[in-house]
Amino acid sequence: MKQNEAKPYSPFRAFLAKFLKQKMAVVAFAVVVAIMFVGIFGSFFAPYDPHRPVTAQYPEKGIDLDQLTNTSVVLEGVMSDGTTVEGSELTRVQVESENRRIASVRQSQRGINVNANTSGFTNATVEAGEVSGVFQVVVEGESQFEGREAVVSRLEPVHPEGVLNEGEEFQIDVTAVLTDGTEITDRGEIHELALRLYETEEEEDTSGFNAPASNAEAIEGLHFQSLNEEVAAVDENGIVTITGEGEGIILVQTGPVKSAVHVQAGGTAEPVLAYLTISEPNVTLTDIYKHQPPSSVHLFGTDHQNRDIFSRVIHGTQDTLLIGFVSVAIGAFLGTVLGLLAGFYGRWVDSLVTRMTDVLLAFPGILLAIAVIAFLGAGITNIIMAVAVFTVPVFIRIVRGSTLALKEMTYVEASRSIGVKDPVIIFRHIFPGTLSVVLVYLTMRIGVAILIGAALSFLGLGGDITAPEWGSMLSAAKDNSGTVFHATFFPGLAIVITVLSFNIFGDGLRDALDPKLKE
Amino acid sequence: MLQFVLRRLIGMVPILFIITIISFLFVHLTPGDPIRIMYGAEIDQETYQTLYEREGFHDPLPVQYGRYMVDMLVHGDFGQSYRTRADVSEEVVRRFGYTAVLTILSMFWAILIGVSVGIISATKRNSIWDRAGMVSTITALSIPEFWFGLMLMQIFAVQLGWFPTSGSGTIWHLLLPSITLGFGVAATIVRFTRSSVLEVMREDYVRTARAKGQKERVVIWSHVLRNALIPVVTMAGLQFGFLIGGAVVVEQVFAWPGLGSYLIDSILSRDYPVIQALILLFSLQFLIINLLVDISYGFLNPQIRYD
Repeated sequence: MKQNEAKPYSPFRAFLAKFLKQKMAVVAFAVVVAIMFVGIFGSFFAPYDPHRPVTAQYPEKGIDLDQLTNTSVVLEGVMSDGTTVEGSELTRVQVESENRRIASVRQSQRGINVNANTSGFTNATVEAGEVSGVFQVVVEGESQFEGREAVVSRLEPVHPEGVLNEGEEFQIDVTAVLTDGTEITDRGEIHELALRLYETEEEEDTSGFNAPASNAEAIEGLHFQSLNEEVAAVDENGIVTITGEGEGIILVQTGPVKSAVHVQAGGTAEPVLAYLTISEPNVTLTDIYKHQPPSSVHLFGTDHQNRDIFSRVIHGTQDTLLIGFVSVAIGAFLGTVLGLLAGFYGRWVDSLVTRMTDVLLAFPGILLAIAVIAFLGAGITNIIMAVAVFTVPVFIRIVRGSTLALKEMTYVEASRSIGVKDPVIIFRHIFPGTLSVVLVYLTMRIGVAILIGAALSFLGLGGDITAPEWGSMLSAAKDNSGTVFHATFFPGLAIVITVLSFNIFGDGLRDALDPKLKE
Repeated sequence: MLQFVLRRLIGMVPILFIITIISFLFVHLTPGDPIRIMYGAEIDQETYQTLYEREGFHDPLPVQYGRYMVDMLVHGDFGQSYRTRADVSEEVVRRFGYTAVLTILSMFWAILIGVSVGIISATKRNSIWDRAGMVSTITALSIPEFWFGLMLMQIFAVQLGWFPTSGSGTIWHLLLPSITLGFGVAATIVRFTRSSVLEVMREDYVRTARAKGQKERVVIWSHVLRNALIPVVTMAGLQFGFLIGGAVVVEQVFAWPGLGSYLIDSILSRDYPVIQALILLFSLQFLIINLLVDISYGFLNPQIRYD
């Protein structure tokens, strides 16, 4: 108050001081300004074109498509004497994906090349001669990975080295390494796991590669088989008995994974390939053709037509704000005019306008808007009209109320007594008095208008369902991306933040302009 | 009292009359030719004329309006759907039950959540609970119902698999839509309950009760809440109309086969007889709800005079 002695009292400064005290409202105001900035200039800095799939835009953005969908894993062979061989030196290598629709694999110079196609997960088998290994490929995207579990990637047999004699017995110990990296050493456990994993898929798993004829019979659990019965025999527990001289190989197998145990009975022989190791038994890639999850390239992910959701949300700001501002502006204008007339002239003008207002206010806004759309047909202009229609009565009521009070003011009476014409009284003396209320409601109704506008376009009443408008984005996401969280989350979050900012800003404005206005 | 109800009922007649005219004119004022919509765009001129005559479009508008009113009032006939050729009144009756169940259950949630949170906020004023309650209500009022529904569906139906995503049939189908619908109203009820309770707590008789050493629990339960909850009940009743409006959107989210989704489907396919009937029905509902609320004001607060 002391300041006022120095400076002349400024209502604006008083208002500003009151407003700045409300921290929430100031923050909300900043957000509102930011949103409006995005609404006006958003189309210039949106990273992608909101109407086209991002894959079509990668070349112009300098993003290498292959880099996103391709990866390599290194393949190595472990020999029976413990030495390792590089993948390129292995012979008779075959790689095969269980489900090529999800990912395809092929042998390359560096190892195995994995190429993602569509979201889901699959297992890929690598075979080199008698032995084989498995790795899992996960392509992130729309699909849920229900039923995904780690499978056996490789079996590492442990056995005594050196030359053995006839009649000797030994036990093969096996360590199973799963695709998620866990190691199982207990034979019984491996057996149980294999029984469970390969129970139903047996046919599929073995038919894919050139297995020896003996493999055609069902292999259950952890299985041991001797390829050279005259040298060594093996029982189901992995106990090997040497039956004759020479070289023998015993295959250890669970499902599609096979390892070889080299048995040497007398003489010397070259070591053979024992098992395969794959550098990354669990490969994760992204499906770039649909529903990409949020990443550094696409902050909000992509939608069912692979359009960048972040860019669409930014572009959509304009439409959403347009619906909010224009409809409320129209509604406020008509409502203020009618409210001023009804309040000032009273009598039949008042009763007609009030009756109309009562009827309109009896209906929930959204249904009134839907009824207007039913009349006018779908389209964004009609949404604006519809929202305007239910905004009108709100303004009529509040403006009429304050007009009634202002009409009794002495200065109005004074101007009337000196013969000032009615339109001048209304415009110069009464309207400015209603301005603060109108301003507050203007802000608060924008939030409501945006909500209803979004609901209408969500219902498909906006006409163009492909437009990057938040409501229609949610509608499209509901129909096409039912299982994808990010597609429905971000456009809705944009609505919430916008409406919330306008509401909090409106609340602050109300408290600063006139504390008595509290509902 | 009776006089007031009668006067209000008579006052409804001109409004209803205007609404019937509006809904009647729907077919005539809206773009698109009803015959083409009904029988397809490719019928030839001759068939078109015959059909035009048979459907009675040759008569002057007042005659058509009269026939429309007689069909509706005397025979309870709202015409046939352009799209399915099904009887509109039968379909409306069938779907009405779905919407009624949905809105009533939503109102139950809204009152349950709204009143309890409102009471906690008011009695523990300015505590952290109060702040949290107020922040959540202003947030809740800014969340679009359909998005809230979609999020519930994502979390509880898609990710966790506890409930079916959409459709109808069991009680489980009803849970997510009703919570979605009740949630916005709950926020309004919280605010209203809070201010109502706070207002009553400032009354003299509450101070007196405290002064005579009454336990705080007794003060709250038998002095404050009894008086504070009366306006809340009325306000909740008034919200019923808005629940029906919200149901239009929520039904669409969860594919709930009520009147709301019927309305939207009909608007999108320009099925005017259905739109006509539904607009009439919805208007009637709101007029009745408003009347009931007005009457209940009188019962609950004898100070109100009906003049």
